[in-house]
Amino acid sequence: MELIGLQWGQILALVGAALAVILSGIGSSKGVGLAGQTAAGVATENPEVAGKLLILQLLPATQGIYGFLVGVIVLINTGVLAGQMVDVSVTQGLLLVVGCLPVGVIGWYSAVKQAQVAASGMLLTGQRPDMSGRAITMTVMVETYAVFALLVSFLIVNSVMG
Amino acid sequence: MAIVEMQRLTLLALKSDRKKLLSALQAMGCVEVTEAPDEVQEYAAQAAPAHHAQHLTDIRWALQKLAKYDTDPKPIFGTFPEIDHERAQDVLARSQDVLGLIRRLEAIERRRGELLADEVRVRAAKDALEPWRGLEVSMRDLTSLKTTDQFLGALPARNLPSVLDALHGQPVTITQVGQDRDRALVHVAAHKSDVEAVRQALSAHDFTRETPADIEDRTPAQAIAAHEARLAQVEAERGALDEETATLAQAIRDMKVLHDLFELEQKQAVAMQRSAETDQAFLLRGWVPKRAGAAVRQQLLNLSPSAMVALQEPQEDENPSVQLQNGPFVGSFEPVVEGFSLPDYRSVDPTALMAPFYATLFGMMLSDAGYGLLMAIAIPIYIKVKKIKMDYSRMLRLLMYGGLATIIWGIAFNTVFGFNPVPQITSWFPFDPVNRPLEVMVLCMGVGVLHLFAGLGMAAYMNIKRGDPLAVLGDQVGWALLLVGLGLMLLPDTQRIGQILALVGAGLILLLTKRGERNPIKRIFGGLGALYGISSWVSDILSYMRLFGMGLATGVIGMVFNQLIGMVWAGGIFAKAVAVVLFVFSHLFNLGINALGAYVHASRLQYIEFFGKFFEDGGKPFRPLDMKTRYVSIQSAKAQ
Repeated sequence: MELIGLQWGQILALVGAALAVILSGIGSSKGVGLAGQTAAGVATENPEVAGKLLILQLLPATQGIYGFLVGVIVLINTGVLAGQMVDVSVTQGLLLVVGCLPVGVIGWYSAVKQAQVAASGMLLTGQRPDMSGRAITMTVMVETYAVFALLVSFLIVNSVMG
Repeated sequence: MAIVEMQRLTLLALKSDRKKLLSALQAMGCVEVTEAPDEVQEYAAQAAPAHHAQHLTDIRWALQKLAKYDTDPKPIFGTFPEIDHERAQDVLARSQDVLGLIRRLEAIERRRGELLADEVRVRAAKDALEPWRGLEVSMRDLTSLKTTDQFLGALPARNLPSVLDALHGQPVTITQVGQDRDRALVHVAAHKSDVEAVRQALSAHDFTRETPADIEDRTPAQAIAAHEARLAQVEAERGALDEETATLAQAIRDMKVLHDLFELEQKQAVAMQRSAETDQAFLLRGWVPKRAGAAVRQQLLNLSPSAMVALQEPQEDENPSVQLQNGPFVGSFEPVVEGFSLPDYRSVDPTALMAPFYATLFGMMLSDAGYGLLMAIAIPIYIKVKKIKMDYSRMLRLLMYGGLATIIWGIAFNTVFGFNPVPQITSWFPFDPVNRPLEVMVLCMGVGVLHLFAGLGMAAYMNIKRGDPLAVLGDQVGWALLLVGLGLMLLPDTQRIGQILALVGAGLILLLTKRGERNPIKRIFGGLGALYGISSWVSDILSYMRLFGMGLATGVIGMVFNQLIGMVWAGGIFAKAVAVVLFVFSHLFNLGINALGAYVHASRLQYIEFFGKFFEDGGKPFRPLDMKTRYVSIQSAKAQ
């Protein structure tokens, strides 16, 4: 695939894919990092709950996966993965960028917020291991919006190149 | 299949029989001892259970310190080493020896701390001396002589040549003996007549006097050697301590047994503290499952014929402890309920109704038949091989049933390890989330409505059981009619009937929500407020869209992995080998992360959407006086 001589629409499509991965990836990296720090702290006090803490730490990781997913769908639909990028009009390119925004932006924000809840949930779990189910539920509440963003991103991105 | 019925057990017996009776209760493991009633507060037992608490903490500390020598497998799923009665008695007889070992371990750890402090101090002293190593005299040899003054000091290395220049030809020698970063350490010997001039020249070049610390009459090299000898000594002592710790570690099993014996006694002591007593007799109250009540009573009477044992149904104002009892399938889903909260003793156990929904939702979210098959095969094998007992394998079995449901939904969504092998049978089956998402969205919301209506049905059942038909009409039937009606209104053929149903439903809600209110205006306004609850129904139903989102994530990530691995596969034989390894690991990763997601989101849909319709929480778990311990499983004498 030749990179020079791309159409504007194709460039926009790649920008969209990159945004989906970058923004949600930043959020998840921040989130998992924050949750990991708290997990390590709580585990020094109470090593027995370490397993439960790992689940909580993993929860903010999913946003990055959602972003990756949408990014790859853009790459598939525009033929990048097949090795021959198809024609993309400027309108289509713009629509792809728009489609990538929900999972990118909401992914970023919700991953960070989810990590904060996860961190508090870890403190709760450290003090009262029997409450770990509640802590996980509280954390998953935040994820709802990332899942919705993924859905909408997917529906837009998947319909543009039809 | 429900919440276990409890009976109030009251035991009045001679104090001389107390030990015997408590041991029997503990071995039976089905009576939870509760606080003595208020009337007998003044007779509260004086027994202090604290005397083992310190030992328990000590032993746990020791076991933590010895953890790396511990060869027993970690009892994640309750596979404890079994200890027979004789062995336990033997350890108990040697308890002072075992505790002595722990005291020795404490001493070792203290000594380790001292050694560490020593090491840090000696190492710092040695490092400070290191630059002076080249000085071949001791401080005593550096005192002033009859005609000569001598001293040590440091100056920036780059100033050394100019200082030598400045003092050239004068009766002074400056010898560099060492280097400390960018400073030169020097020995200065000057004739007394000239000392002042030398000093001035030196200080003009940033010279400061400095001497190696604490070497007394040794040369720096000798002092360093002494420090090194001390460090070696520390190391050797540490090695000896390590060896001794390793020998102490042979007693790990004894420590575990002793810990658990003490813990059992501690449990008895706590139960004893809850009893009331006089000089001769004691009174103990607790909860016992109804089915075990008579047997417990008989056994207690056999042991102590003079005892009085009463069994009563719980009073209205009493709140018995809650224990769930279900068959092997439904029982696997109990951890989900317990993760939220146990139901109130007088409500219903939701597990049986929840179980099939949980498996369904889990399957829709994991939605890859290959992954499901893997779970459904691997988990039972794991349970068999590890010989995990029923009680401890609930979580694993829950995942296994989830795996079974995943196989079905994986086929329905046409996904097997990220491939799409199922041929299109009808225009809609199998579903195609990527190309025909609308059908899947409708399916997800349909499953959601079923789930929510099941919850509504549960609430209706509870209201009927309590003899409150108006509540059923207003809170459940009304809503069901309204929602079904609104749904039918969306379809052109059934619009008319839908309108009627919706209006009847709304009317019921309007009139019956504030059943207790006599003022008709307040009553209607209360109903209007309740009607606003339609928005929460909308958000509840939309929440099931996550089924689609999570399912999509598994399927598409698997597909993407396959595409990427397909590129590797196109290479030669070596590339194919790499591709196989990649395939295994990437799909295991996808399975892991999405099974976790499916588990937590399926739980959430139960807790918030489903339980929100009917669940009454607040049951306190049934914690009987029993033989459950931390490290080992001790067989009682009778069991053998």
